[in-house]
Amino acid sequence: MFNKAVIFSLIFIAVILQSSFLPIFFPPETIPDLALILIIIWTIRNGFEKTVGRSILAGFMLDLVYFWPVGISIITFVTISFITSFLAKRFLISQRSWRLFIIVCFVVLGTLINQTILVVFAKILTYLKEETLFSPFFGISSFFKIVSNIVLLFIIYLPIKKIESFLDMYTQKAPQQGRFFQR
Amino acid sequence: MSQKLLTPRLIKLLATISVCAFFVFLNPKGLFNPVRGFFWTVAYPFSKVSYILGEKMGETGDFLKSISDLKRENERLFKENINLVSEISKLKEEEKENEKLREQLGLIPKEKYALESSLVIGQDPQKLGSWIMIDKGSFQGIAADMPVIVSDGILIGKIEEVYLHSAKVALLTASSSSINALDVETSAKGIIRGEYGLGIILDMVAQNDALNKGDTVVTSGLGSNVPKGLYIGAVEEIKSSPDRLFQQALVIPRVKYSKLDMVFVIKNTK
Repeated sequence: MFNKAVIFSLIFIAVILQSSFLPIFFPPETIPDLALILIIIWTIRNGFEKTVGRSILAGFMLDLVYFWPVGISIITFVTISFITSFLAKRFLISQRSWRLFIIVCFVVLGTLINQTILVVFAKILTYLKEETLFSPFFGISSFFKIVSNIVLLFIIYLPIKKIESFLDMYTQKAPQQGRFFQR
Repeated sequence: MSQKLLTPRLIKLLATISVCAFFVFLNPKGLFNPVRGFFWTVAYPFSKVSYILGEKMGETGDFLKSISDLKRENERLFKENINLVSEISKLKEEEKENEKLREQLGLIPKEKYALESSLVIGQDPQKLGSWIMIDKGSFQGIAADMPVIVSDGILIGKIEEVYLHSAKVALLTASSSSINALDVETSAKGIIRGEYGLGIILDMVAQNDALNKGDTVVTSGLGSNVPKGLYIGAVEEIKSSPDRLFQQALVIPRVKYSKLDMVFVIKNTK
């Protein structure tokens, strides 16, 4: 219960920061996807099965706070979590020395998938409803978004890892279980 | 083979995508509006605190950055001060002229509005943005379609959705935005429309009406509860509509929507 409350709070804070705090420091097209980075980190650490609930919750909150049709961010996050988990199993175990580089690649890939799915949905919805419900972008600004996401990854990776370790200790779980990489 | 492909993980993914796609396409906004209202009521204090905190941090950063420029800034201000003294006398004359013009155009001075000051607590993350969230809602008497201005009487948009302690403002750049406007210099009338977050267009201007680059565009007060005479922007570029029936003008707003921190909602005119 305590674990779930902490995870819920983390997702809630991430969504609030992404919508109300980060836009002050970044141009609109480069605002980092804090919730997305959280999902990628959790997927790398815990796998798809354990992250799917968190992906749905984060996506749901993000859709509510961004006034997007509910479901778009959920689809995006669950898909990214699935792909990240699939690739993490194959690369993070076999290529331990390239771990950091591979995680950065996951963030780059996740950002691109996120943008692509948003653009596709925006196009379909604009075509069907004949009004623009939201207008994502996909161009040179996506490069700056990738950079800001990578910077954010380096900032939050260790704190999230510490929180996860604390939660593991709290529930008396063996820290080795279900991890793709360990020191 | 098919057994190998359809793993429980893939089934879970496909099920989630199917359910979400069902919600997205069948009911984009309506179904979850009460949930969204509840969420914003809960999130409101957190959003407000994080936005204010961000603003303060941004200001501190700007201040630290500006220390190195202080000497240059001082020299610039000294020169500017001399210029301003001469401009004051000129502005006094213009003030009188402004009052006369307002009388002639029937514009409402800013003091005549019942304003509700609000802090911006969130904004559209998409390119250029088409909405902002403010920290006042139905509890403070805010209602849908109320116009929103910044301190100088510059219209930035209208209230679109209202929650208990917050409200969503559709900016003039939003595709849903549509406000009657007129060219102050030539009295040409048209409709201000958002260009999908990319700018503002003065549309539906008759071909025989005159439009000039640099003209001031204000609200005309027709057909909505937006009062007459709120500044919208200046004409930048004039072209014909695709069907050649009307003229269109690209209007440049004076304010940067991404930099808004405090706005005023016009509840009514006094």
